[in-house]
Amino acid sequence: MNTVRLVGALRGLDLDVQPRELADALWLARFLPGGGPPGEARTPVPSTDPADAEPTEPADPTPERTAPDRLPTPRTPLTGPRSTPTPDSDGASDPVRWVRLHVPGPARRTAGTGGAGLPVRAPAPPALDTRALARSLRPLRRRVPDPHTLALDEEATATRVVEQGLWVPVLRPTSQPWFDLTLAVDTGASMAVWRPLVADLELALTRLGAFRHVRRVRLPSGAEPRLTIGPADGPGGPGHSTRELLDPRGRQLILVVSDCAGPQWHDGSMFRTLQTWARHETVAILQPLPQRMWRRSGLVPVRGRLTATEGDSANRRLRFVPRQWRPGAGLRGLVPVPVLQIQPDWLAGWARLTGTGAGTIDAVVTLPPQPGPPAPAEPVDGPPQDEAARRLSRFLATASPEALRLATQLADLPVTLPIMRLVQQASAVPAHPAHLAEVLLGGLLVRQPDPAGDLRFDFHQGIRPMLRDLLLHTDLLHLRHEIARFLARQMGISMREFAAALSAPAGVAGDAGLGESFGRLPATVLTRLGGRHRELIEFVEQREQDARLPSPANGHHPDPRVTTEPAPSGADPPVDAQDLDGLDATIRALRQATAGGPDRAGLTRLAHALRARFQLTGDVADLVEAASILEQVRGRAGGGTEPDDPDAVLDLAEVRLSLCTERGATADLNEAVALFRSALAAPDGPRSQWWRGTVGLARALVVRADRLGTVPDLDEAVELYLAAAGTAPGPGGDDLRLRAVDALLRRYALTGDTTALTRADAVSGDAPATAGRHSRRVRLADLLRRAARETGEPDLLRRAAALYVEAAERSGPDGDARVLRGLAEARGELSVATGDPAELDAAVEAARAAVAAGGRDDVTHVECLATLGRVLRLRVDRDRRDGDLDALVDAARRLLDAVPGFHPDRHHHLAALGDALRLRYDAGGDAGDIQEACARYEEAVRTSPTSGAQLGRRLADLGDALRARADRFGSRADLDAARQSLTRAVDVTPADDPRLPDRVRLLAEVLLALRERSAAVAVYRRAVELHGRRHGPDGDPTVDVRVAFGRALLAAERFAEAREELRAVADILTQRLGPGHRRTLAVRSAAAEALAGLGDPGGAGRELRDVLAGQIRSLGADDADPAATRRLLDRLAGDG
Amino acid sequence: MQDWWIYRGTGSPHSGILRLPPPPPWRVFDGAPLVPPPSSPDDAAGRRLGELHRAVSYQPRPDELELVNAALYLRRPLLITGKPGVGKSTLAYAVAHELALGPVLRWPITSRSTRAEGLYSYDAIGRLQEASLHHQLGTPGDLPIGRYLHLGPLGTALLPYEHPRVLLIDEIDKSDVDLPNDLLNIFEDGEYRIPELQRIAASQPQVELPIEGSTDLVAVHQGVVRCHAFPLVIMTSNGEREFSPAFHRRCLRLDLGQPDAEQLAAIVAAHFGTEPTAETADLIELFLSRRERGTLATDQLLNAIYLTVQAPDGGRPDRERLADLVLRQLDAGPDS
Repeated sequence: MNTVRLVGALRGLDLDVQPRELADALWLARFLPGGGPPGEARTPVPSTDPADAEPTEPADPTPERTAPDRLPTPRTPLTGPRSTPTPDSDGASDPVRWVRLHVPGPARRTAGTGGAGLPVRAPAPPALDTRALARSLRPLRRRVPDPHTLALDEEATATRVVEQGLWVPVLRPTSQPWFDLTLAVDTGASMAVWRPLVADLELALTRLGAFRHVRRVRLPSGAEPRLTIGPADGPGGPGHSTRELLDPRGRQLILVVSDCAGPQWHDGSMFRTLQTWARHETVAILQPLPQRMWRRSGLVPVRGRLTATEGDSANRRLRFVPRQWRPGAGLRGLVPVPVLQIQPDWLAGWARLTGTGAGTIDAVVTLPPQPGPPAPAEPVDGPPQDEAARRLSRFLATASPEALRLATQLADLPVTLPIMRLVQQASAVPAHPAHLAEVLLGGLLVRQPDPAGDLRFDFHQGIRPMLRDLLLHTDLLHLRHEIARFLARQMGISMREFAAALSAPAGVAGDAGLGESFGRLPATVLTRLGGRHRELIEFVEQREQDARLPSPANGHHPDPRVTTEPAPSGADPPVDAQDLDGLDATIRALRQATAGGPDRAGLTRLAHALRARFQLTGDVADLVEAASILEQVRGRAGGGTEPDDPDAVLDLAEVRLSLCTERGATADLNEAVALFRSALAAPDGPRSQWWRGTVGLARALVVRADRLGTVPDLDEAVELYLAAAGTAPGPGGDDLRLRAVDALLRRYALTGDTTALTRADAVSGDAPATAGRHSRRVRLADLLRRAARETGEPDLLRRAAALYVEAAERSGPDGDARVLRGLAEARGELSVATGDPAELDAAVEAARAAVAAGGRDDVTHVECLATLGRVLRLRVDRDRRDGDLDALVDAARRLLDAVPGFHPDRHHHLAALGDALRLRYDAGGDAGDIQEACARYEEAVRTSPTSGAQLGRRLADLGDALRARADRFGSRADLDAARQSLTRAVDVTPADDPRLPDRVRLLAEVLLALRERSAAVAVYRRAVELHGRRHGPDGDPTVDVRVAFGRALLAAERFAEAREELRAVADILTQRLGPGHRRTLAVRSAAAEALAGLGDPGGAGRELRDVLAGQIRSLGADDADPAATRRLLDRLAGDG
Repeated sequence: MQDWWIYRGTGSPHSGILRLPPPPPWRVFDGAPLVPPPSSPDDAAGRRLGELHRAVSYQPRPDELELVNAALYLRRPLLITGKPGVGKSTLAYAVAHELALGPVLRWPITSRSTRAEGLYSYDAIGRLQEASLHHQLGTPGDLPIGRYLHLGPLGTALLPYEHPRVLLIDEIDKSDVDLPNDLLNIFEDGEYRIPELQRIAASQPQVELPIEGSTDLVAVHQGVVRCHAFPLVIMTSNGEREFSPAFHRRCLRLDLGQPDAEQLAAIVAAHFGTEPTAETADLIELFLSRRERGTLATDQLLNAIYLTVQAPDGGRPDRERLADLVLRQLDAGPDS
């Protein structure tokens, strides 16, 4: 036993040892007897942990365990030797007998059936953190000289005697506190919950020693219209006027403790009283509710800064500046009365201000209440059909983390005030009444009738199971542990108590009814209470004889490692999940057994037990101790002539790996790897050992690869897993294969190497079809898709699609939305890559199925809709079928509906819907479509972030849509808007953007439509330039735009340029398409127009006739083009 | 009974204190020269413990015994927490009586108590008066300052006695916030200075001072008082207030539960000198059942028994009414 282990063992009992205390303990141990004969009066072993066996070691209080800094006092009767410590139990630790504590229930007359209980007083924790409160209120201890009491100033007297020879004492006034405190308590119905808080507050204020007197008054309430002086519970005295509290010297400090929910707050009478007080004295309101609930009460809180000067802190001298100045806020003529939460941080600032009379703090003051019905401050009963889920979500939305924690921890306990405070006290966070208020008034609780007349609540129907889900198992264990510890420690000693009942086993008569249980005590604590509990104790201890663990002297201790086979993944040994008590007992016994000497077997079992307990409780200290024990075992073995015990090495390696996972130290990890390797290197071990080593090493290497990104580790891990899987048939082997697949997938993620994916495919194909394999195959498919995107290989996509299909078949008729979506995406990409329309159809089918399958989960649903939209768009681009267009619009609309209004991606969806509508309009011509498309585009532009590449596109789309609408309805306003939009689009688009030329062209067209011809010409010129740069001077788009340019010039009556341009284009087209092509002829006719404009009607006419002939020849006489040419000729003839 | 126990809870005085081993090396104090043990009998002990002739039947429980002995061995203060009336202060008297450690030095604490008050008090005005009187009358000679200094309970406990004195600091949870930390320092050091004596140390190296609880005079050298045997400091608390962790670390802590039926019977027997009769047994039962519903002090039981023993034989109802009047619960309001 070395010092580290001793300290560890003591820490395990929750004793925090300091060096001095340890030295004291060890020094005292010299005098303590080493072991006496059993059968004598028992000496209790001191310990603080109620989970420890209390006086049950009759013989050997082992020296190290005497930590004499705190003892509970289990009572053993003093009448001679006890009968229960049996002679053969030397050193055995008896299991602890537990007795349950219940809230008192309705009294039952059926005694002796084991249901009745014994009444008992259980300790209650304080309602306030009085130390912190006292510290924060210290500045209030302002002392002033009291002119009436004089004391001798010795120094001054002595000095006077010495210097002046006058033997006259110098007297100076003593100092006394400046303030007299009056605690004005609201005793309305809703304040019943806060009574213990008020009592503790009064105690803390009295103890502070900062006030001359402290008195308590009751505020006028509905029942009593006048102020009553006296404690809250006592009989009412004669009522007093509220003005009686006023003190002309202004030295009263009036603290009003209230939740401001009573009617006198709402109708303003209390406010007037406060103002009266505040004009002369120092007043503040102490609110137990948190600030966000103040609006429900009769307060009208206003935030701002409160400043005191002149050393005077009376309210009327405080200056209040509201944070947001509101006109008509009506602060004139009102004296600011600060409202404070009963929390140290709130009170500290205010105390400083009041105590020193100078400074500035942020504060909240209250305005007179608005007339109106008072909001109830009690737990509100909503309509009965209010679902539990809705209540809970409302609570979750507004509760602070501590309040949420409190609520979840109450899920398994009866809800009364003392129990809520017990739970608050069990968590390490300092408890504030505000959190209690949040839970009480959060809408989760409803008041219950209580037999004792105390306050009792219960959760609404159906909330408890939901809260239980939010509670972690380790948190629950910790909570129970802490509550049991508090109860055991304070039972019979605490000043504050509440009524409870003990469950008595059959045969012990009791007369108190039992309600729900909230905790348990070791039975031996009850000896502290004495009296009739004695019978209970005797009865209980009788039973101990029957059910005790075999002592180590007799037999073996059961090994907490349940299976002798290695666990499938080399993890910590499985445990009997709920048997924490059994484990504790085993650990204690083993500690004792090994305390004597280095018993390797015992130490190893102890290490296993500690590991098992760590699994249950998550306490890292257990792991650390297990590690040091195993080091000890190993070191002892290695120092001698025996080689390292490979089992111990493996155990140690596993513990180190767990430690690394808990604490995150790389040193642990590296050591674990080294230990595993050395265990594997040991020759000729049994099969199970090789297996454990292999699996353990593989795990460690995977963790290391995750941490450090070392790829060779991953490779090695994969090989190891596969090797181990090969030898272990059955589910163990399959699990290992799946782990190998995981490692391979990780490898791809790290390196981007697709061979890893292929291999993962193969390995997972070998594994049988289980849920684990299924999820991994789906993930594999996702990664294949990603790889295909990066490398562009369609085979990967095909394989991914096949995997998805396989997974989809597995998931049954309802389908798994994620899988189907993946399939749709894969097929869609495949169709883009290969151009196969069948793939595209299959993609659309899959996307539809995904949307149908994607249940309530919003995110998946949105994604599936987006996928559907994408693949439909692909199909629409290829060939427009009406059904598809409708489906596209529908999908886009649903997607937009599914996305909430504030979502940052909303503009994408708006634009997508606009696109779909535009497409449909282009195909079908439904006016509603174009209207809506414009509206959606506008909204998209409005909600787009101003710095995106998207903005240009949206503006261009908007402009285009507006122009289309203008075409349809002829609205000039639309054209103007289109022009603005396109101008902005062109400005926003960077110069190298390939879409710029098109946008410029669009703009030019719009300008032309607006008849701003010169501007149109200028823009066209630019468009031609851009197109030429991009597509080359002869490119098709360039030619198109040049034609348009030419027509624009024509429209602008710049005939010479028009003619030149058009002739040039006509030449190009003649070359390319032939002289008889429709387009060529159209351009030539335009050129002829230009000629006419230049003043040569004859030449123009000639050309036109030529064109006409050509048109009739190639297009027939009835075509629109020759008709247009003829009209032109006629016009020309008419002009000329 | 354990062999290492010095205080055994038997109630009859013995010389077990002579077996107390030397202190641990970090708790050795070397105050010198040794002061003779105090002699006067303790008036208060009789009142609290019942007739001294009989074996005092304040039967402490085994863990009390353990802790008191541990405090004796380790030279550490002992903090006893418990409900009112449970017998915390009586334990100090029992220890002092059994181990013959002299009168208990009792220091009742209020919110105005300071460490200086407990150490010593100096009557400056008195000295000034006498000095001026002397001056006027022309009487030669210096005034012995020892007449104006008076050691308080804490100061007396830290005198260099050969055997530890018992210092009872009552109701320390009522103290000011600073007092426990001040006390910690002095318990660590085991010594204190008297500046008034230090100033005149050159001319008067040794001054005789009156002490608390006794009429003896004790010599103080050079104005420094250092203990030889660290006193057994017993601090009682009602648990109304939490102390700082540093304070808890330096003390041993004992939580005293309430006495059960047998102990109550023993206490009653000790105070009233008779064996418990049927009536007193009834009252004890009643007391216990009431105690389950609220806080009651052992004193109240004794008061009730006294009243019923003295009440005229008017039959049970009168006695019961008297008992009802006296056995009111301590933590309820005026209504119950």
